[in-house]
This record gives sequence, C-alpha cells and structure tokens, in this order.
Amino acid sequence: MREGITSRQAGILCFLMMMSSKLLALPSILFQETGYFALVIIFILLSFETLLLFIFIKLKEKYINLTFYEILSKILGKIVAKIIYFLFSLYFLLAIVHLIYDNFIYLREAIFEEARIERFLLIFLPVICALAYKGLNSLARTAEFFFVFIVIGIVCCLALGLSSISEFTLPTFENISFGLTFNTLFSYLFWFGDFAFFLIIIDKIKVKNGFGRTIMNYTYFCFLFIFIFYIIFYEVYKNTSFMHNNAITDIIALTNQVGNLEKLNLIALLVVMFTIFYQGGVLLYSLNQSITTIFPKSIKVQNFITFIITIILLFLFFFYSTQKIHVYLEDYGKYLALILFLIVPIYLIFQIIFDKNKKKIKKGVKNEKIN
Amino acid sequence: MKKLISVLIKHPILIVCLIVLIVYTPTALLMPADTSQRAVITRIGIDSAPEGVEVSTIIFVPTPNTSYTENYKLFSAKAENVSLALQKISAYSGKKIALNLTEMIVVNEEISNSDLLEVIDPLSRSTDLGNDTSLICTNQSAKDFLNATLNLNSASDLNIENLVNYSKDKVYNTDSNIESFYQGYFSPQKISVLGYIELTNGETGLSTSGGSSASGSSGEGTSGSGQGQSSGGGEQQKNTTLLNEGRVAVYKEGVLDRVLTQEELKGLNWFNPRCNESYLKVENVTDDIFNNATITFKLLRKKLNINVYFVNGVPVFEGTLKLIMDVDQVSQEDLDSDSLQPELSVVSPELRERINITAKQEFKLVQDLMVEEKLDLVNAYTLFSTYCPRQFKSFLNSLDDSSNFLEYVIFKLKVIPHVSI
Repeated sequence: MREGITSRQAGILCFLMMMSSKLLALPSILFQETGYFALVIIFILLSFETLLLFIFIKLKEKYINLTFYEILSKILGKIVAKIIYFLFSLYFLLAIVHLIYDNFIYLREAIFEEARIERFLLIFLPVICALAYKGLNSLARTAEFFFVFIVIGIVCCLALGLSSISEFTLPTFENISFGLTFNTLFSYLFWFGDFAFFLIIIDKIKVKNGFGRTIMNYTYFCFLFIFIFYIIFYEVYKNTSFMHNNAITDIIALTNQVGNLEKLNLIALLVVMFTIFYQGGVLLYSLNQSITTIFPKSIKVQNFITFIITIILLFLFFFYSTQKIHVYLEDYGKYLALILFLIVPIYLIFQIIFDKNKKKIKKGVKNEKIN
Repeated sequence: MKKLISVLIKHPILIVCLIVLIVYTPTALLMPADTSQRAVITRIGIDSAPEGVEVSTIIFVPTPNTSYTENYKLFSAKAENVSLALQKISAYSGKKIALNLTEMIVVNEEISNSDLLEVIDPLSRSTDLGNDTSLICTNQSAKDFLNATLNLNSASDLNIENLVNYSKDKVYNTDSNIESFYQGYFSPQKISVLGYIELTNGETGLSTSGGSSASGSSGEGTSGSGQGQSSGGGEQQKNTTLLNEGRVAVYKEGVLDRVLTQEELKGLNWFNPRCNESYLKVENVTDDIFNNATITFKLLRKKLNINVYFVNGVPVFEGTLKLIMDVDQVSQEDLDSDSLQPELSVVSPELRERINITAKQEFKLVQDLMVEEKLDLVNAYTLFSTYCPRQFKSFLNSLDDSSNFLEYVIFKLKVIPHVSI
C-alpha cells in the first residue's frame, strides 16, 4: 500500500501537532510559574521546536529515501537505534495519555461535567484507531480537508479574544532569574516535542523542490498563531491567567461583542475536537510504526489492541487516579524529552554537518522507497 | 443481510458507531426533562448569618402559560459556607443545582466585611458558572434584594440584569463581575471595584412593589413567585426600591473598604479611559457670552492620555483629556440671545479655565481619599512599575511605608474641551 504524503500534507500535520497541545492548560501553567515572562518562555520554546523541525528537514534532504531507523542504524548501530526507537515509543505512549487527560478534563468542563471517562474513551479511542490504522495517507488527506475549518476556528477565537481586551497593558517581568528561566524551559520540554512524529514518517514524505520550505511555512504560520494566542490570552486575563486552565475556551469567555449570541465556546470546542483526533491519530500511528520497527514481525491488529489496553491501563490506574500527570511530566518527562529532543538532534546536527554524503536534491528527484 | 454483515466487517468503525447508538440512544430518549431534575438558578444572594452565610437563590420554575411571563421562586438556606448552603437549597428544592444560567450574584455589605474571595470561592470553582457573571454589592440584605427583583422578571423589558449591564458601561464605567473582582484581587494594588445598588424604601429609583420575604420559622425554604403573586409566609413589607445612584464598592484584599459616593466616583472617572458618557456641571462662568452662568455639558466623547514619569525622583501622574461636549443646559439670571444659541461652537479661555478648575476640584476629592485610605484606584502602581520600573523601585525603597506611595505622587490633569458642532 502506497503511504506517501505531500509536503503540504506534512506541513498541515506539523501545524496540527504543534498547536493542539499548547492551547489548553499550558498558558495558565506557564503563567503560574513565571508570570508575564511566560511570553518569553513560550517564544524560546517555540523557536526551539521550530529549529528541531528544521534539523529534521535537513536530515530528510540528506537521506532522502532512508527511514529514521536506517539513518540511526547507519550512524549509531542497530542496538542504539532500537533503544532510541523504544524511547520514542515511550514518548508517543505518554503523549497519547497526556492528550487524553488534558482533553477529557477540558471536554468534561466544556460540555458535560458529569461525563465519565469510559464514554470519552469509547468515542475517542476508536476514532484515533481508525485514523491510525487506515494509514498515513488517509490521515493526512482528511487533515488536509479539515485544516481550513480549524484555521477559521482559531482565527475566530483570536478575533473574539482580541475584542475582549478591555485595556492593553505592557507586561512587566518581575523576579526573573536565569535559574528560573532555565528550570522552566527544561521542565516544559516535554510539551515541545510535537515534531517527533516527523522522524517516524520521514521516509514517507514525497520530496520535490522546496518541500522543506513548504513545511516550514506551515510551522511559521502556527508559531505566529500560538504566540499571538498567548499574548491575547494574557491581555484578556492579566493577573488571573493562572486560573484559566482551558485557554482556548476562556479566551472567548468574556467577549460581549457579538450581540446576544451565547455559547461561542462552541467554536473553540470544535477546534479542539478536530485537532485532538488528528493529534491522537498521528501519535498512535507513530507509536505503531516505532513498535513495528523494533519488532518487525509484530502484527498490526495485535499491536493496536495492545496499545489500546496499555493506554487505558496507564491512564486509569496511573495518571487518572493520581491526577498528577502534569507533575509527572514536569518531573520525569523532561529527562525523556532531554534525550529525544536535545541530545539526539544535537547528534544529528553533527551528522548533517560532518557526514561526507553530499547528496543534494535535484529537480525531479522523487522518493523511490515508499512502503 | 449477508451484504450488511460483510460491510460491517470491512468497516469496523461502523460497528463502533452502532454500539454507541444502541447503548446511548435509548438512554437519552428515555431520560426525563432536564428541568425536572435540575434547579436552574438565575440569581444568587449571599448574606452573613450566625451559622456562617445565608445563601438565597432565585430558581426558574418552568410553568406552561400563554403569556410572556416566567415563574421564579426564592429559596434560601443558612450554612457554614456557600457550598453547603447550596447543597441545602438542592435538598429544599428536590433538584440538583444548575448554575449555567446564573446571571448575577449579590453580596451585602456585612458579608463583604470578611474576605469575599473566600465567600465566592465555590462559585468561581464551578465550571458551570461563567466568570463573566455579574457580581454586585448592596447595602442591606441580599435576600431582600433578590426578593425585590422577583417582580421585575415579569416585565420582559425591565430587569435587574439590564440595569447592571447598563451601569457597567454608563454609570460605574468598570466591569463588575467575578473575573474583574479576581483581577483586582490579584493585581499589585489588590483593589477590586464592584457595582453598588442600594435597596431602599424611598420614592426615587426602580420601584418593584411586590415580593415577600422568606417563609418558614427559620427563614429558610421557599417563597415568592413571578407574575405579581406571592406565596409563603408573608412577613411585613420590606424595602422594594432599587436605587442605582452611580456608587461603587471598593474592596481591598477582598474586604469591603468603602463605598464611593457619587461625587467621588465622578472625580475618579476623570482618569478612567472607559468613561465616555457623563455630565459636567460648570458654575460661575463669565465670558463674552455668559454672565455668572451654570452650564451643564453632556460629554459625548473623550480621549484620555495618561503619562507617568519622574521629575527629580518625584513620580508624576499626568492625564491629558480631550473632551468633546455638548451644551445641555444653561442656567443664568438673564438669558439673552447669545447664551440661548442652540450650538456653542467655540470654548472661550474663561470657560476652558472653569472646566479645568471644576475637573481638578472633582478629582481632588478622590485624590485626597486615595492618599488617606491608601487606595490606588487609578492603577498608578501598575503604570509606574510598567513604564518607569527602576525609578519606581528605588522610589518605593526610599519610603518608610511603600503602601503610602500615593502621598508623594504629583497628579496633574489637563482638560482640553471642545464643543460638538
């Protein structure tokens, strides 16, 4: 089955992945830690994440037809490559659980406070399984279709949020130190590894001239959206930003500019619903690809059943019962993120710079190896 | 059938959809109406009580009728805190409390003498209740206040929510809701401002003429209804006139500090960029046109530019105000043809000076109050720390008591009036 996706589709997936995890609890958590300095923190972390994608694209340009596993095997050996893939699998698994936790809490508050977790899982898991099971191609194509609606939704949220600002005030940075900045950046590194999936699908992106630029354009677009979103959110809520854990809904909660229309949070709700399904689908697909690479003889259906059971058990008995997933991710997830999103990319940078393989993309070059 | 089964096997997502439909559709269809299970609260009043607090709620009671009137009932309960009181109300009404449609919370002065943040904590935690829900203060019992508003529900174009929304933009010129209270509480000055509506038995104001106090020996339970009828015990007639005179309640660290008078609020509004509609009365105007006249201007638009800076280490808070006004009334002993002209297009230097003096006098009233009570009502702290952070920090360090910094701030107000043509 042909699983190639175009650079536009890859860009759209990058956009959705980058955005979806940052518009709910993160703005308030960052504000609680650093006050208005959260704007600087988010700018640094978004720049870092964008740089990561840039490195990955350069890697793709250098090894056009190779999978990430083949690249790692070539430079580090198969055992280290499998260990890194195992760590990526762990990351994807935790990312899915984190996604479920944040969005269940959000949807419960936004729609129905008495909704129980099994109902959410019953709706959420089959959809992301279907998206991931059908393959990257169908996932990317449906994402491409809904992308316009998602962007319109975000623009509406930003516009409504902007109309809620009663008085624009310059943010003041108080009690900021290098230690605090470094600690915050390190603690929230886990949130900024959304492009990890790109490495897993690196061999499936169709290459043509300017493909990297196309993907990066979508990323810059998303960067801009997120940064503007944070500015508006902090301007709307100012000192109470730490109290609002569902930023995308809360940003439009105080708006009174649209006549007597109520329930405008439906716009935010739809944006979140669409993006979480795609993010979940991409994460589950990446998890399956990672596990299949580690265990090449594994069967797809069995893999998916195992993933679902693991996700449910991990969620219910480990994270949901303790309600401390953010604390765990801050305390322990950062080390996983440190290896995957700092040490591995730094090594890849050296590989890109010093490797003698000077193969360049020529006009008309296409991926030959598409599974 | 075989074809259907093969389609289902080929597309397992359809099986999931079918399961969801089969499990949840009958349950949803057989569920009773939500209003029969939930008590929809539209207003909440909080008073202090020997037990802790007394919470009163106005609950919407769905009643089939052919008119536009709606039916409401007042429930009240006393408990240690608001959360427990709401539980009691839930028990009294036999329904689960629903706060989704709550439009207003009223607190009285007495409960405001304790930390209001703690009092309204369960309400702000509720995901049902939006933070844009109006929060206002009243002089007497919040329960009586709610009782007085019961009759207003039957008048579709006259209700207390409209009164509060109008006041937010035209009278107080500040938001008066849960979010604005919290924003003030967590600001460096820790000052929040809430709208203040009095409940009186006077002849001026919005007369509601109806409603009765709570029934039952303990004063708890249910009473009142819409449509001018009242049920329940029926104690003596209470104050039923709602008086909105443009006063606001100022809270410092969540505790009621004082209620500003109309004059004090008017003075404060000179430095309020949101205040765009107001009136200005200038006395003793003598120039080419007027002779010892009292002129009332209607302010149509205003552009306020606030500038903060330091001069020799002394903080200066300067406001430059461009006013577009309209002459509304002229009072003079002998009105002549000049002073009676419908449109006054040029503001004379004498009139400009009188306007400036009047504005400064009005602001001086609130400036003295701010210094005396250490109430930073013009956000001076935030503005200085934003635009002159280092100078302001060293200035504060030089003071024995930094909370008293307003005493050393020089306030300047320059009004440039224009008359609308």
